[in-house]
Amino acid sequence: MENIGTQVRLPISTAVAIALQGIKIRLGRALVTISGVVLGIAFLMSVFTGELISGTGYIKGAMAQREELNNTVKTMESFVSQALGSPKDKIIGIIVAGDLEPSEQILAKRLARLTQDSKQAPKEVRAVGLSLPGLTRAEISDIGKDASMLIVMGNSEAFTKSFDDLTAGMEQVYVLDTYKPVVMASEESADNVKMRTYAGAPVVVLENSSQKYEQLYGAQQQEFLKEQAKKAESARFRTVWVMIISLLVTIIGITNSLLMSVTERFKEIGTMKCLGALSVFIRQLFLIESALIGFTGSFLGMLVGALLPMLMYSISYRDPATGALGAGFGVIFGTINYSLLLAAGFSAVVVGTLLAIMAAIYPANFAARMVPAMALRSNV
Amino acid sequence: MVVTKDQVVSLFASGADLSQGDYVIRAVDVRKIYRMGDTETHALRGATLDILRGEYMSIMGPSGSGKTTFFNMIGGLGKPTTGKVYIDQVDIAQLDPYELAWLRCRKVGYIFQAFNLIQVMSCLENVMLPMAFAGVTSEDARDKAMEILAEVGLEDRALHKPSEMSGGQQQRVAIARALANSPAILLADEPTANLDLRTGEEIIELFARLKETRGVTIITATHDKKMLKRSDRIVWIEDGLIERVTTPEEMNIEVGEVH
Repeated sequence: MENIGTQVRLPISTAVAIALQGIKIRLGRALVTISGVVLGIAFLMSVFTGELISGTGYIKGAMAQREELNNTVKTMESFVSQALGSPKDKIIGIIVAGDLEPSEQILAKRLARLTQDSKQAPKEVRAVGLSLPGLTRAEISDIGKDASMLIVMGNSEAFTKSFDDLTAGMEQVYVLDTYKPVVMASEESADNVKMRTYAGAPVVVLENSSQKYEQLYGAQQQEFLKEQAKKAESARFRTVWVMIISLLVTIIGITNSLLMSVTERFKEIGTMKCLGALSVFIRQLFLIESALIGFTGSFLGMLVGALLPMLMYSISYRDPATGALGAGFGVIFGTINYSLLLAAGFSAVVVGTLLAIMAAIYPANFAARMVPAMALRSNV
Repeated sequence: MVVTKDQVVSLFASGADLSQGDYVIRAVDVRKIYRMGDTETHALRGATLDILRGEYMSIMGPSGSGKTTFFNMIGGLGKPTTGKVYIDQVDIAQLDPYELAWLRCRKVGYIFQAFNLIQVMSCLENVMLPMAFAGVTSEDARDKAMEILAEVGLEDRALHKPSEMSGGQQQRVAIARALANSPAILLADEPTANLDLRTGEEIIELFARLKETRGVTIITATHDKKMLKRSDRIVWIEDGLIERVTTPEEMNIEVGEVH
């Protein structure tokens, strides 16, 4: 037994080169397999991207933040309409002290637009320290004269005048502090809320706590919010479930395609074994082929899954102040968290490649177990 | 060379002349049993055969005779259930998969009925493949592959794909590939069955030439009468046993006979 050696293991690069040639010649099938991976990973990635744009979970998406902003504005508007009823023929005063929050800016714009609405246009919306078309510029001393409501905006409470002076000209005192946000209204009263008195009228201060909110929204509103949260939770569960199914389908697709590829290559594999290929090498060949397919597919899928939702959200985005389309590209592409998007994309490619390698384990072992005598069969 | 007791017994059993001595393949009382559930199939029932180095040996037998099994055994493609197969004095039953792959890579060159060229590779790459498996650097492999392709008369088709070539040319590439690692044995399974008469003859001529120039042992499973006529010895296998070993003269083969 003097003249026998042990077959050397070939470097991976040889296997990669041969696997690449294999993909090239069976390009049609490889493309079909790749498109399966593209679909699976694009779905996964679009869920990630959607979460980054409109998600309300741990990672608050850019759209979700906008939505929250919208809700804040709506809440403030509902304060106004609750206290005021229809704004028609009423005078609203706006006092701006300090910097404006985004929500306050939107509210101011909407109030300014209200003056152009013929049905419920207020008599006047006058403002101190804020100039917008539609708003009348006023002096701070006149701001409360004949006004039905005062709205205090900005992050500062340093007025040059006391509230008593400001509200002196008002018959009924409705003050909305959008910064807190606090409503100070003359009529409301309850035992558990802080009472203040402005110009001899009792003022109720409602602070931004859930208990106080309940007094504004009512129990029904609370119920509705809970319902919404539940629905969001079940939608999330459904999404995860569909995601898992789609990845499983992708795995099965790759496995099936590789198994077919193995059966098709019985003779080729047998021949390679006759020529001295080790089982390890054959196994590598199929694992590498699948990894290449998985990587290509998941990279393309990642791009599709990231760009498509961003485009769709961009196209359908409406400006919260004006309701106009078209500004979406700047908002979505400008506000999305790119480092998280990159991390999600990277994970999607890694997941896709690993799944493809996993899918190849069975076909690769099947091929590796093939006996070299298979090459002699002329009927396969 | 260490001669074991088994070998001595088999030498006498096969009636071989010890003075000639240089056996490249020795099969001693080879039995192969295939089990499919409860049924056992005895494909080989004690086949003993010695093949000399440099011999041109043809194996014949009807289908189901165990011819293919025997052919696989002496080519290192299968292990016997009992009995011994020595390839170049190595008992293949003792080899682990790595050593078997080494043996298939360097000691035996395989030639197939359907050529079995790797379709995705050029002729040159096909010939280089066994050298890659043997760990030869690609520059050396390329030079040697070109030499061998020249030897089979295909150096100008080196970069063509197998699909662009005729059957006879493909089979010559396959022979070049089998010669890549300078094996002691060429194992050819019906090498002319997929070829027309004239190209088949060319292949037979090539075998004869390689036997002379390289001193390589050629073992073919074939029913091609022209091929049988050129062989040194013909082995007839029937019912799992070696029925008889003859020379072409004894068989009195008439070439050109209508089958």
